[in-house]
Amino acid sequence: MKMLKISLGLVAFIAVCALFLPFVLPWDYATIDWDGVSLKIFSSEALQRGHYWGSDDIGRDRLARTLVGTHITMSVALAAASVAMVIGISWGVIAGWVGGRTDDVMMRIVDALYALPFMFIVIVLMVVFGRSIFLVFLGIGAVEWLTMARVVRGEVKAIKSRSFILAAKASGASSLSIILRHILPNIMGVAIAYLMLTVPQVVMVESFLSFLGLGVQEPLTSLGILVNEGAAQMEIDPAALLLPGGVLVILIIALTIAGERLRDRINAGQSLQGQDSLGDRGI
Amino acid sequence: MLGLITRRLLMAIPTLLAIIIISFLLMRFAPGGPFDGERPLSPQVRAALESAYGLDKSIAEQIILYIGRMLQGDFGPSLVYRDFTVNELIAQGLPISLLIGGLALVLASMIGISGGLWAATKAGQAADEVLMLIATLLTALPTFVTGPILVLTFAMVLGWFPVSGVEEGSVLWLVLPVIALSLPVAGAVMKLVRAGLATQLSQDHLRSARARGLPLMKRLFRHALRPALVPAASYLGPAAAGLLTGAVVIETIFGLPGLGRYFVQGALNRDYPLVLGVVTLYAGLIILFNLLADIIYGWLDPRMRDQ
Amino acid sequence: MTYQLEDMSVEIDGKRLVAGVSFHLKSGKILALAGASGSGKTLSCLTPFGLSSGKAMGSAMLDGKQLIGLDEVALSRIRARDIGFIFQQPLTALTPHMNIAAHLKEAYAQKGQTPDHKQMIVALERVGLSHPTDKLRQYPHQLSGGERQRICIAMGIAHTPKLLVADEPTSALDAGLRHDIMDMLVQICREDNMAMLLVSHDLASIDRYADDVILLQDGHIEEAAPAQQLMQKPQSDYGKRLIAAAPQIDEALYALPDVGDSLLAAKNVSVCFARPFQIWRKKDQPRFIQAVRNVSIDIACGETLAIVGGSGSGKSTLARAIAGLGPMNEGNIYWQDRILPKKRGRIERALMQPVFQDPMASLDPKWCVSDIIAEPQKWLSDSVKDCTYLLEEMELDAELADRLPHQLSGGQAQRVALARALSVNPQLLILDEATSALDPLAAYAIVEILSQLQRKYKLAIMMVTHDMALARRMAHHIGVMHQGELVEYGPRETMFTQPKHPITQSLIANSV
Repeated sequence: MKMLKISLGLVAFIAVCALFLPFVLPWDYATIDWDGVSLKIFSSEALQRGHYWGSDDIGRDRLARTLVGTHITMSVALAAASVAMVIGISWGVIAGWVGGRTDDVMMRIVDALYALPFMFIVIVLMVVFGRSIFLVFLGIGAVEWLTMARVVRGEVKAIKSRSFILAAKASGASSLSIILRHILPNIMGVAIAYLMLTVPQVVMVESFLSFLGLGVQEPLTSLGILVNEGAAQMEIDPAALLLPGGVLVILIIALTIAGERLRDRINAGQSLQGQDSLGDRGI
Repeated sequence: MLGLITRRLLMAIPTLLAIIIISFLLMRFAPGGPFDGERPLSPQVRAALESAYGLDKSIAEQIILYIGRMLQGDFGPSLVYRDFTVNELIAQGLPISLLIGGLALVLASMIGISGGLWAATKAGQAADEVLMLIATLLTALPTFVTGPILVLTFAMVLGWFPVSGVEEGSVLWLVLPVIALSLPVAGAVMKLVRAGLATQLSQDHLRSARARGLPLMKRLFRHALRPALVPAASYLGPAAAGLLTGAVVIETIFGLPGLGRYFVQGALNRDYPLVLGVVTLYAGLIILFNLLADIIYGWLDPRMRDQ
Repeated sequence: MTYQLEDMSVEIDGKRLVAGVSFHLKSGKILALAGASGSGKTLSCLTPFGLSSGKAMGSAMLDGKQLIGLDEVALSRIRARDIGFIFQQPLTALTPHMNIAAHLKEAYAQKGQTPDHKQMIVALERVGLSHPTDKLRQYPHQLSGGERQRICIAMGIAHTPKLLVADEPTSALDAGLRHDIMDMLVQICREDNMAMLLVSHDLASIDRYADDVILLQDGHIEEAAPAQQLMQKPQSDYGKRLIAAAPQIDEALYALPDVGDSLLAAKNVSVCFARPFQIWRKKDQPRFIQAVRNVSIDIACGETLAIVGGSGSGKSTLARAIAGLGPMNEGNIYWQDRILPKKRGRIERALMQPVFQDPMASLDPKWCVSDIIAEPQKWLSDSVKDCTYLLEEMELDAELADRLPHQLSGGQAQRVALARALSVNPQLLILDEATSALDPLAAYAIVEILSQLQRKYKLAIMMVTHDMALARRMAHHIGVMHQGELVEYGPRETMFTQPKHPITQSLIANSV
């Protein structure tokens, strides 16, 4: 409970900083300060020139770059996770609801896609279609929907076996209406929890691609690129690695914890609902 | 059980074929080719090169030719590393990737299973909470952050291990990459084992064992652990293959000439045979590891044998 | 041996769920704890031995030794040495990856013994298992529920305990097996001069097996008496109501309303299901499972028809086929001489409405009561019936309209489901075990409401049940199903005096 709030608060704080802090900073992320190259964090010269976190080896403001990197990483993650959610929910609902042979075939496809070396597929996609930010999230989203589809399909099957679905059929409700009014409201909780868990996964993949040089392009940046640049000069200035790395790690951890707590809470709530009046064992 | 394995193997054939064909088409329809170097080649040279590598035939013919050769164990010549065949490159890179990935897999399982067990014995206490928080942290730390931090701390500042590269006749160079690679998997296994044990401990058969007066340790090891490992096993199947895949970053950070680096270089330079070879190899490995996981299920839970 | 509870109470998270339970049990005696679900019978039975999440207070003396306040180590030693346990769920009570021999060895190890092969064979034969040598090598999932419960019993008595605690030992089993297993269990108890603490909700079986009964309600004792006295002359108000609520197979026949003209007729209905797809199908396995085979029934206006049968007899599948909610491969359903189409439209759906077994599962957990009740009207009727009126008809408070299903009790939830079914004025109600998941009193209330509604609206009812006594109380006609076939059909008067088919005879014998 407390952890959930703290984590969500942290994510919100980072998001607000990434969105609004750049407007009040003296430097933007692309401008080169020829007189302030490779300034260390909090050094007197850096503070004097307005580079609060120092500057990189060609004189760009590190704080501004970290913020824009965070912004890009988070936007890509959110967009990709949404793509994953839409595909995953549709796929899972159709497979679970229709059932039978259709379900078999659809889930076999998911199994087969799981067997793909997906990181390689993403890399190949990036190489093939060029490095556009749109493709980055489309590609990641197209890969990350598999787990969502499995989870949603399992939920739909479980709900479908409960007799309120039969009662709705006996009430004359159409399949579409049953899906929209009975199934979707009952899987939404689980779907949102898994969306929360997908976001850090996507952050990780995006940063990974950027780290390999396949993500967004200069002068735009992302946390993965900054970590990569930082790793190259960590001997001279560890802050170059630790600052963007730290933001990235905090972001991923907070999102993961929030997602896990949310999922556990929903699962606990559901098992309470699932207790039937037959079972005397609990008491 | 036998039926399941046969079914999996039968499934593997179309899956592998689909992967090869999709990757092949993707590579071919991509703009740019392997011979687009700094300066344009003359049309004659280009045509000669393309015919030498069989690129002038129709796509369908190329695919069939490729699969035919692949079935004989020949992945063809590399287009970028001109003097090498793909088989030679794989033979160079694979042992290093397998060594690091295999060691990381063993380390991750050991840390994960013992951590999960330890947390389960302390269920509900502070130690349990702390261990689970550590597990979350481990899964959330990307290797490309932990890798450089490990290098910075233990190689550059403390100087205990080499910064990068392979050192003949020593095992020290292995330590940091294996640790960096294993940490996220260890965290995930720890969580799965802990959750599996929690599920098992609330089951009826554990209550029966408790009713028989069995102490906690015996209940954990004899009655709970084996079925509790099923989720971890199903995770470790793909993860085992993923450890080799994830090694791309580790190999880059630690400057190791593994398969992952050849792959990235190959992809960036449109080296079709190299990329296809590596993709096929990894897909095969994933299928193999999933199969192993299935066999392990059968040992962990005899109910699976009869399905 | 003596086991004595004195003013024992149980708390979970500071909530007192059992208060002031006292009883006395001696070697060779069987004491039953009876009561509805939630009455605290399992808690009062298991908590003193440290096997529930509750905290026990008061006194629980085993052979003069105080159990309450002992730590887990001491309690587990006592459990291992002196007490045997048998639980409700035989299907999950055994560890899946250990074979039967390993289970038995562990049970003997409680007393430090290592049984040899012969000893284990004898133990399995004693609990009535055939082919014991093969059984020792098998894993739990390869045995049936009844066999597994016999294994659990063999394990429970392996260390010759002084006290056997049996928590609903047969309620998860098929009706046909219950008597066999209880007979065997009681015989072993008497032979070994063990005391048995039996937890059960089934008053009929208590009457047959127990010496004394403690009747619990809401965590306190309502009545403590010798078993036969409680059944014949209950003293407490609760005891009287409970015994009146449970249908007996030999009670006086209730008067039923008159029957009108024929309403619905099912002719030669067959249903089969495809087996799950397999690449290598065994030769003798048919491709389809025949769930219902060539069944014909008819129901008249104001009539109640009961379809009785064991689990897997196809009775629910038949009901679903008739309701248009499940598959039907052959046959026709006639509604007053008109064939109902396979795909039911608005008008046909409004003619008949179902009510299902588990009331909680039949209400969407995200919808409030008034929306649930209004759902059929939205699709099937032009006029809108008042939710308050429907709730009142079910003897429910109008305040419930805004509640969510999880805020209702089982009985309330089932009445909401009934209100939903009746909101479109159907002429036929199809009840699929509609009372079997409920407490006896809640079930009785539903039965009462149904018979009032039947008189008021000339409602026809088709009820599916496993309970012969309930069928006898409610139905004009009874059909008995077995393996998908209707093996016997007739009026309730003759069904019980002259049952023809062996299945009917065994169903009646098992309900005594």
